[in-house]
Amino acid sequence: MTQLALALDHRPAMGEADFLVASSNRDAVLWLDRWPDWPGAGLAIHGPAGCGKSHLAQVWRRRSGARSINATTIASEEPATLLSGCNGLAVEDADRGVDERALLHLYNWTAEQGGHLLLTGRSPPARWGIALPDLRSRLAAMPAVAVTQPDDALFSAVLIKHFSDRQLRVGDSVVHYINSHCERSFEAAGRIVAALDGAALAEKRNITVPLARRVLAEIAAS
Amino acid sequence: MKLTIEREVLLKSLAHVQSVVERRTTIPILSNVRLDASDGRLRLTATDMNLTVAESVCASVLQAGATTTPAHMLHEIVRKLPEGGEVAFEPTEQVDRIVLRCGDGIFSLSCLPVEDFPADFNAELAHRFTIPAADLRRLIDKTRFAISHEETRYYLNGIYLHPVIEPKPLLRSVATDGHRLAQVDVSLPNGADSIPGVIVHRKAVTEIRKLIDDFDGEIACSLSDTMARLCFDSVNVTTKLIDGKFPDYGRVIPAANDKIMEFDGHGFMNVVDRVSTLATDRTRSVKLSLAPGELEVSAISPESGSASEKLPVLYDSDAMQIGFNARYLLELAGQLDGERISLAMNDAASPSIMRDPDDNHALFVLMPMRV
Repeated sequence: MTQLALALDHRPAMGEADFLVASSNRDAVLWLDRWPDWPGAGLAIHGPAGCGKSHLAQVWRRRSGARSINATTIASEEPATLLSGCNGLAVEDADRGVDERALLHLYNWTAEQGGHLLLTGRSPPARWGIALPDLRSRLAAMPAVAVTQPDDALFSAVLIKHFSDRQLRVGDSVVHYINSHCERSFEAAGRIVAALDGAALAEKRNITVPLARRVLAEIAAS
Repeated sequence: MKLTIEREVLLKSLAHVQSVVERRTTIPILSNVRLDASDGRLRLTATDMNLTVAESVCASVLQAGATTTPAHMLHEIVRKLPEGGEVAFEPTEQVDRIVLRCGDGIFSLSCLPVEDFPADFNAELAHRFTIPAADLRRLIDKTRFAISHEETRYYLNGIYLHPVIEPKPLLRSVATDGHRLAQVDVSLPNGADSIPGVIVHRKAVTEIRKLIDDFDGEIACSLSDTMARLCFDSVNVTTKLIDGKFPDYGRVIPAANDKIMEFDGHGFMNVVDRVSTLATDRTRSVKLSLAPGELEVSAISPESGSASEKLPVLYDSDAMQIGFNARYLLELAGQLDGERISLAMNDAASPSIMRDPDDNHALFVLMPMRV
C-alpha cells in the first residue's frame, strides 16, 4: 500500500519582480513596458504553455488597473460591464473556445472607449482559425509578440521559481540534474517540479538527485 | 567573576539552556553558555542564533563578571558532581580559563570572551499577550507529533499559531507533515486577536515545551512577524520564526465526511497495535474493513503471514475498506483524551477526520494508504 498525501496548496508568486526576464520573453516585456503607447487597442502575447503569459498579463493588469478574464467567459457579460471602472482587459487563452462575436464586440467597445485589450494564446492570432472576417482583420492588425522556449539559464531560473513558489528548498545539484536531463520547455518545468513535490510529500523525503532521477524516469515512461 | 551556587539549582538551569546548543557547530562561541554574575543572580544564556534561552537563578556573587564556557561540558561536569554540593566559580590568572570547584573537585574550563557572544535580542515586539501555561502545553502537545522533519519543506517544520475570530475567538495551533494534520484550539488570550499567523520552528517548540513542563502560571508572550519571545518565571526564550507561508490548511480538512464510526479508543489502539505486528513493511499498513456495527482490522505480509481482529463499533453506513499507516493511527488516537474516538471518512482515497466526540477543539486529519 502506498501513502496518499494531503493536497496542500501553493500560490505562485505573480508580482512584477517575480517575472524572470530573458531573451525568450524580452520582446513581450518591452511591449508591456510601452503601455499605454500601443499602436492600437490591443496586443497579443503568444507562446507555449507555462511560458509566463499569465504572469505577464498579471503584471500588466496590476500596472494598468485592468481586469483579467478567461476567453471562454467573455460572452457572459456585456463589454460595458466587463470594462466598468477600468480601461483595460486581459483576455487569457483567447485562442481556445472564444466566442468570436463577443470578442469582436469587446474589441470594438474597448477601442471606442480608448482602452486596451491584452490577448494571450499559445499561437499567434493569425493561426487561431477565426471565421469572422471583421475580427480576423482586427487581430491581423494587432501587434503580436512571441515568448519562445527558454534557454539554459532561463530554464534553471524557471525551475528555481517553481520550487520557490512551492516553498521547497532544493540544492543546485537537483536543478542542474533536471536542466540537463529533461525536455527544456516551460510546461515541462512546472510538471516536473509538481511531480517531485508530490513524490517527496508522499514519501516524506527531501528532494534529491536520486529522487529527481527516479521521477524523471517515471515521467518519461508514462 | 566569582560566585557560589547550589549544584541542583545550577544543574536545572544548565539543563534548560544547554540543549539549545548544537553539538556540531562551526562557530566556537555558539558551543558556549554565557554566564553573567551580578546582584545575587547568575544569568545563563545559550543560543544557536535562531533560538536563545536565558535563565536567571540565585547565587552568592562575590565578584560580578561575565564569561562564556562550553555548555555541554559544563552541564556534564555539574551533572556528575555530588548531590547537595555547592559549586564555586573562580577566576584564574589566565583570562581564557575559569575554575569550577565542588568539594575536592577542581575543573579548569576554557573560556571565550563575552564580547564574542551574540548580543541579546531585546527589541520590543509589536504584539503582547499572556497565555496560561496549560493552554500552551495543549497547543504544543497535541500538534507537535505532526510537524514535518523534511528540511526541503521548511515551512512545515514547525507549528502554525494563529488567532481564529469567528465563530468563536480561539488561538489555534496547526501542524502537518503532508500525511496527517493536527489542529487544536484554546481560548483566545486578551491581546492575541491581532497577532499575525506565525510558524514556530520544531526546535523552539521542543525547548519551550521542556521549559514549561513544570510551570503552571501565566506566560508573557510577545510576537512580531519574524520573532517570538516568551517570558515566565526567570526564563526568557526568544526565537526567530520560520520565514515561510503556511498552506491554506482549511482546504484539506473535509467538511462532508459522512461515514462516521465511533469506537472505544483503548480497545482500538490495542487491536491496531497487535494486528500491525504482522505488517512488516516500513509503513506497517493495516486495512480497516467496516460493516454496520463491526470493524475488522487486518494486515498482510508476504513473508510473515496475516492477521485480523474484529471489534464492535458504532457504524451504520455502507460497508467500506480503507488502509492506514498503523503508526499514524496509533499516534493520532494517542492524542485524544476521551475514551471514545470518532473517525469520519468519505472514501478510501480521501482524508479522514479523527476526533474525540466530546472535544470540539481538537481534530486530526489523516490521509489513507492506497489499498
